[in-house]
Amino acid sequence: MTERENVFLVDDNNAVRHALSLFLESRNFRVRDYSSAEELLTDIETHDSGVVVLDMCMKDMSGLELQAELKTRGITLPIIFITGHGNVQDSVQALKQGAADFIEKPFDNELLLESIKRALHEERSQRNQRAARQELAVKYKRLTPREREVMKYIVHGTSNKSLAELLGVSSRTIEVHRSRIMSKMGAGSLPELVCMAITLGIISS
Amino acid sequence: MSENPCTVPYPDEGELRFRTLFDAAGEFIFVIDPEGHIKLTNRHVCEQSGYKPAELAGKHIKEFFTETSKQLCDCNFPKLLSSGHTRAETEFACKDGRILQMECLASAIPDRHGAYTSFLVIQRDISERKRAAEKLAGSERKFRAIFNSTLQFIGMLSPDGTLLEANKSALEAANVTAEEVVGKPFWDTAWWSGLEDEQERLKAAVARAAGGEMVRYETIHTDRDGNVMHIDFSLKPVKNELGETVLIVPEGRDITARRQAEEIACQHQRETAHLMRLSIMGEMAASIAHELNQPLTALISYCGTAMTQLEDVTAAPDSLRDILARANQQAHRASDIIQHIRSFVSKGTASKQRVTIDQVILDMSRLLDWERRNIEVDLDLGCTGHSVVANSVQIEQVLLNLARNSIEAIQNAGIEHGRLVLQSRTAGDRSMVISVADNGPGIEAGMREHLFEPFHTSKEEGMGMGLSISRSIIQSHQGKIWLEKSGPEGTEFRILLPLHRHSHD
Repeated sequence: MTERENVFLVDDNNAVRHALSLFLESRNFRVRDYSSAEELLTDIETHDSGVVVLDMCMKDMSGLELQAELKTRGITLPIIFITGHGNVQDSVQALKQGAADFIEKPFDNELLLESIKRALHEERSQRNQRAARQELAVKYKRLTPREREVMKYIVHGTSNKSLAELLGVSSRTIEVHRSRIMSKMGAGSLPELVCMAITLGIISS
Repeated sequence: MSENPCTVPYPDEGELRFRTLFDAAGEFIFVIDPEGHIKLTNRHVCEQSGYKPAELAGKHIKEFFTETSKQLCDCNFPKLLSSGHTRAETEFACKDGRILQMECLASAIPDRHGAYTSFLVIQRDISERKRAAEKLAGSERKFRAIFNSTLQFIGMLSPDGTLLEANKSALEAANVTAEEVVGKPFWDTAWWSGLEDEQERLKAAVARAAGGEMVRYETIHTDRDGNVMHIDFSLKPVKNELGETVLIVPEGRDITARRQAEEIACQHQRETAHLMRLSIMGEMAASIAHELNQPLTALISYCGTAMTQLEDVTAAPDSLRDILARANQQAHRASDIIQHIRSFVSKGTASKQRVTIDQVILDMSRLLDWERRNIEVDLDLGCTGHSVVANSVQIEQVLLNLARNSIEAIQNAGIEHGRLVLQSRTAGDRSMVISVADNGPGIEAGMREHLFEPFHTSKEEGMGMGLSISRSIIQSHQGKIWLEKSGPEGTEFRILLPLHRHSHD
């Protein structure tokens, strides 16, 4: 099994916190629990990964305020709200502010588990996309200026022959550039290269 | 009697007595000849009319009459000549133009042969009497006009209860004519027919009024269309100088409209009270639900975890799994019940709309009219162009609660010039502040700290929920409520509410 995922659990009710911790630990999560927003804010770091499970109404700071505060601190972990008051206004506001989910108390363990998994999955795929983008950027950087220029034309559909004329070189030279670009970028086909160009923002989708 | 008494130089004693009487008389006395010419007048004529004896002597008597009376004179003179006497009301023109209303009596004075050679005309000034009579008739007319045009039912009874008079309104209300009811015992008239209890009550009341007491009570009648009428009924005795009751004035005022208005106000108050109770229930249910949700969340989670862990224990008995499953089920059931209650009580009471708070304050202040008595309620509203998103019934409850607290405090302290000021002002671009201030005795220092906590009250019959619920209502409107100040000069509460964002249109 891979490394255990973090669940940051914030609830001012001790019994709720204990019961949920017990459950989540039993499902192999690493639970870090806090009885107030304040406690979470002093403990959490920008590079932390995982999911935040947050009680909506707490004494010192409301869940919505904490959500906003985390955002300003650059902590973009998914947040799942749990609440004893099924307040439509609050739930709309929370979701508008980017909450991953909104669950009314009391709820089944499995419901929370599903929600956490979904949020983590989403988070992971976003993280993967970010990583892939970074990887591509590194590869793209390795291209020579001339190769980058040629790549720009190719992904826009310019044929080797026209490109050779345009740049004032032989078709053969273009072919060499082209095969180097393909191998440096790790692209197996032209469509694959076009996708990469989209991800890199060289052409707009 | 001689033919010309004026010229008798030495009258005898009898003649002298007659002359004295003649001149001392308080009436105009003329002696005229058969043609109507004045032969003799007494002193009173000259004194009252301004004419000298010489101006009168020898003139025709009708020369001193007004035109109308001259004609009357011409008509009556032949009758006087034939029958020897006549009587008429004439108008006498004085020298200065004044007209005197006269009652005129003329009699023939027969001579020793029985012929009418002269006539005695006696005129009595009845101007004063006529004026008085006219005045009386005028005041009678005025009285009648008032008596009959007033919408109140008025009549007159003799002390034994016989109806002497009833005004138009009273007659119309019973659809009867005066002839049908006057002269009958009041309780046997159409107004009371079929109302045996009322008749007995009236008999007793008339007896008391006849004894000099003023009697007043409220009765219910049905008018000719069958509508119920509330009547404020009274019997007032009218007494003579000896203090005896000579008349009884029955009076009925139709207070149906007032009763109905009171009933509507009561109804509104009952409805508000009902909504208030619903709101209390809602607030209680919401807070109970919240309190119970926490342990239920823990309970359900514990059960779930235990059941999962039990799956891995092969030796665990099935009964244990069953027990846990049932416990879990019951916890869910409890949560469903709470959910149900909450959705039930929140129905209809919590919907918010854009409302103008000034209008809410205005509406609320009208509700106070029935309980404020002589306490002055001043409105100083400065947010008419602004609105907030609120449940107007709930805001009205909060304001009503504060206002009633003030009114009770003022009344219990016996403050004479009680005053309550309701004010609204904007506070910056985003909020408004409502102030409810009184000149009551202030809140006890010990009470102030716990004002908004439930079950804190200074009222014997209070539950101590008013301010606590007010606060929870205001909080649910994203507002604040606080005690601004309280002391011997009065108490002021303030409420802050966020303004609706586009309220300047």
